[in-house]
Amino acid sequence: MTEQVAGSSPRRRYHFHVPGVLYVLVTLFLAVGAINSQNNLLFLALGLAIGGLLVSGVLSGSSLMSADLVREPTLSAELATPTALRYRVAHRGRVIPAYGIAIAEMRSAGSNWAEFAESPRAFVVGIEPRRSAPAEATIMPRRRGVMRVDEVRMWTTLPFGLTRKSSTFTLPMVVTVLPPDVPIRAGLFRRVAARAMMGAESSRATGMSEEFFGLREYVAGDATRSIAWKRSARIGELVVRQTASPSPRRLWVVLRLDGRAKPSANELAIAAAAGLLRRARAEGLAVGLAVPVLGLTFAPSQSPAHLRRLLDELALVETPKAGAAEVAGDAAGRGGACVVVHPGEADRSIGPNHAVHIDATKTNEVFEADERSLRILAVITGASA
Amino acid sequence: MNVERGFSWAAGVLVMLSITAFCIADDNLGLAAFAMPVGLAAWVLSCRQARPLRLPRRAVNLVLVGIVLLAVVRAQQDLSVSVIATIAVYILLLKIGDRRGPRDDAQIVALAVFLLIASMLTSSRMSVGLLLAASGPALVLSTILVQIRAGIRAASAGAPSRTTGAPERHSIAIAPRLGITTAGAVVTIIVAAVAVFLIVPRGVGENYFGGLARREGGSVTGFSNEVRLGTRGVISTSPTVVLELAVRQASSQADTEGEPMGSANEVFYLRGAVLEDYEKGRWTARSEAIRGLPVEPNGIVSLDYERLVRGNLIRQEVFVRDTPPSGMPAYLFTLWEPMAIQIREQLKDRQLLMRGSGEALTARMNGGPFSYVVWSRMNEWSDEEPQPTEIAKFEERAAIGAEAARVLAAAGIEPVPTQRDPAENARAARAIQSWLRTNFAYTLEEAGTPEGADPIEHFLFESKRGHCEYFAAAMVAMCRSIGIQSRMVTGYVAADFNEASGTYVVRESNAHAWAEVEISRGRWRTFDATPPDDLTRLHRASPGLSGRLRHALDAIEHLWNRSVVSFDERDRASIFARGSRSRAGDAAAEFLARRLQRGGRELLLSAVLAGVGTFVAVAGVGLGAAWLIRRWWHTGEQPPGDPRRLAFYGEMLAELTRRGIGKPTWLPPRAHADTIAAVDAAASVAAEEVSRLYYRARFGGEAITADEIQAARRLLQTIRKRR
Repeated sequence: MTEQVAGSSPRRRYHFHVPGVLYVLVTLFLAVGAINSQNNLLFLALGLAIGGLLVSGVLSGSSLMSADLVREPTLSAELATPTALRYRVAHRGRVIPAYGIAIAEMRSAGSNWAEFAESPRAFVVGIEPRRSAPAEATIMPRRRGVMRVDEVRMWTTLPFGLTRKSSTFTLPMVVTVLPPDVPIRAGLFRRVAARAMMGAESSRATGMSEEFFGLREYVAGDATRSIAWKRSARIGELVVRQTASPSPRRLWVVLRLDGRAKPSANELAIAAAAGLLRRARAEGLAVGLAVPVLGLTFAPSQSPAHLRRLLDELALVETPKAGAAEVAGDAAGRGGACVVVHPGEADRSIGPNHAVHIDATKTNEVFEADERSLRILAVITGASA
Repeated sequence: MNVERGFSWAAGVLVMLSITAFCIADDNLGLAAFAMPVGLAAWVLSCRQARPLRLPRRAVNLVLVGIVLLAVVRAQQDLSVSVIATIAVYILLLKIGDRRGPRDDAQIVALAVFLLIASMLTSSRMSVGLLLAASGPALVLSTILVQIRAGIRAASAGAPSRTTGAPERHSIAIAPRLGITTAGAVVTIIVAAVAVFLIVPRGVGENYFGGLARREGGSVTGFSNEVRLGTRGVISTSPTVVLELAVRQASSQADTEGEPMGSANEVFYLRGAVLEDYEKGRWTARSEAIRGLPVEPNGIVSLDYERLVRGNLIRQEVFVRDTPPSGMPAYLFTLWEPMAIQIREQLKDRQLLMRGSGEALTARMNGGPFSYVVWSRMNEWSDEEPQPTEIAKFEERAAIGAEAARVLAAAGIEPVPTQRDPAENARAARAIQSWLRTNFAYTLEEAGTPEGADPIEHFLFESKRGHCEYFAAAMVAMCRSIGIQSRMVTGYVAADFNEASGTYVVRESNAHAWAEVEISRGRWRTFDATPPDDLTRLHRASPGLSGRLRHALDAIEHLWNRSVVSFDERDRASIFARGSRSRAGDAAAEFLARRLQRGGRELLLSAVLAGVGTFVAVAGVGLGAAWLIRRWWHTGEQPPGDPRRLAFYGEMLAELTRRGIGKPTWLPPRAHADTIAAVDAAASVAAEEVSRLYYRARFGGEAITADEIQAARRLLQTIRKRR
């Protein structure tokens, strides 16, 4: 169950609205015209105009004065992938439904969404009295990182567009924009993961695999099948043979970032690293991440939380300045497969000897070429989507 | 109904009604014949989901330039509301063909509103008022839907692609209870409008801003203050109502409750212009005899005070539907010579003009409808010494004189004026009238007069057929030729009496010409030489179904004119006076006071008891009504989990059971939908969808719309069909 974000009491106000001013001018014209000409139809029209003004005020007021907005949590978003910011509008009114409620994120000191996306907008066609309705504003983040949203404005111009009434709510929320989920080509992944599949190293714990772990004294209850007869005969007491536990298949992803490379090349490398991590986790591999230039090393693990942590780290990775010193990352690649992702020409000095090197800028070799991937890659490389 | 379809209907109706209202108000049939079918076709084509009509930008710009040029040319000739609104119609039609977004739709609605206002400025007739009233709901609904569509468009503009699951605009259901809200808004607006209509005082600030928002008025055709005989043409037979006339006897000027006069068999002559001078087939009024009389709005002008105070008056209430364009003189039609007149509206120069010896009244109007009350005395009732009348110029015609003498001789009347007793003048005039009625044929067709011939002589001796102007002219000419002073009068015949409204309805086709003859010194009398059968046939409404229908419509229009168009400060004051202290209230208070005086304490006790009883009864009825309303309200509220709204789910389960694939009680609905996929994939999909809807309403607390319930029922049909 997700927790909704409710803010403090909203700030309500009226806004200057051009159609409303025009309407008032037309009403004034009708009033002057009716008085000047004593044309009774114009008096009726004046009455209709004033009635419209009254109804507009009452309806828009009742719509908004009794409407509350809560934010529904959005835990993460992905770069260049449509993401919904979700809200729920509750209408506490008892009689008149609320109509045409627009919702938009506001720029404030506590928000930075404008760096990530165009103005997010949602719209609710109508809500019956004492009901609530969901609303969502779809954004397409154009960069990774931590996106903060803070104030949300809800307004309506209904019924006649004469008055614009708004309520502003403070509903802070943080959304981590992760690297995009661009699938890695199946052939490439098979090549990368081949070593991990073979199992390069046995486990340091006893278990149920076929691999020999060691000998120990026989204790009652041990299976007679497990007794090492030759060794027992040699030392004169019963010893049993222990096997090692199955070794987890591991993949190290080493991300090389280069300050001299184009920003888009580094972004492609990050996207490729994220793709490899996601794919490997989906295949049941334990995944580890190393970013030598930043000195980050995360040992492999199979847990979903670990993957999320790695993706969060990738979301926060900043491109290093040119000439930043590479940190060797000795642990990376030890025990398991290793892939080094480069933002350009491969530097084979990084990573262990058995590591597979990938140039992320060769997108047609690295990423699947489906429509969605191409669209995301176009956003990353700055080409028109 | 979804938002798109709702807007298509509402705005389409609004556009068509606004164009119709303006074309009717402006009497512009040509524009109606062009704009209405074009507008309807363009609207239907522009609302199509597949390949909607979108004129190329270049074509739109080209046509727009053409319209602007047309506007400039027309504005140089005549810059009026009619011209501006006509241009607006063209722009509206172009805009319909160029709908590309909510902004265009908003502009279309704004143009429609402009046309409705222009209609009001152009005409006050009931048909325009009805069209305006009919436009109200369409205007409210389309304005709301313009907002909603703009909001949806703005929200979806930020959405990067359809992959987000955002619904297509065409599938978004119209907002809940929008119909009821619209109806409520319309009713509230109408109530507010009526309140403003009644509360705003009239007569204040009139003409303060000159001609602003003044109707330009139409031309009243059929009646003319000049008669030209001998020109080819056809007399107007237009049924357009010119004015309404209510006639009452009045003992004095203050008497407004006198006996109503008029019936289907009674004909009144509404005098307009008095034409005395004749030259070469042309009858004109004598322009030198004009005097001005100052008049204030609602002020009474006494034209002949001495005769007025003698009483025995005829009170004529005249409502003129339309008057000539601003500043042009209009005739005030009266029965007989007016003694006094009260004009409700403010006149252009604040003065009446009395023309010639015939007491014809004119005034410069501000355009639009106009009403006044006239008090007259019938000529036959005159008992005072009349003033001598100045002899008018007339070109003597020997042939006409000889013919008149022959007619009089045949009737046994002395034709030589000097030898004839003046008391015989009336008989002589009657003889001529009778001779003309029996020996000449009536026709509306004007055959024209040969070059050089006098039209009256041609009528009398050659053609022997003509319309009312020929008969009247011949009558006047013959009377004058035998020394009897006479004059031609043009105006209207009030012959179409409407029993429902108690008024005569006078149409353009009722325009008429007749003669007035001085039967004794200064005493004039009406003589109509037109054959009475033809007069009746022409001027009375048909007794058939169409005539009755026309009478009914006239009565409704009369009500509209009396209660809306001519509503003024007096009506307003009388309503509020009646509201504050009604006659019934006065009578009840008086009755109570008398009873209390007589009955004393017992009566007071019974009155208190009766009051309490009444209060209890009223409160009981009120509470009962409130309970019923509350119950109805709660029934109408239909909470999301209401089993009545979710009946479709039970029906689906029953249907599945009937088909032998019933849901076990332990299995969740959607899981069951999965399991039956192997048996019937389509039923599985339908069951899945219905179950999803059921989950949303039953467990998600969401309200489901009528459209969704309909969709669920359609899915049920899918399951049933596969039985």
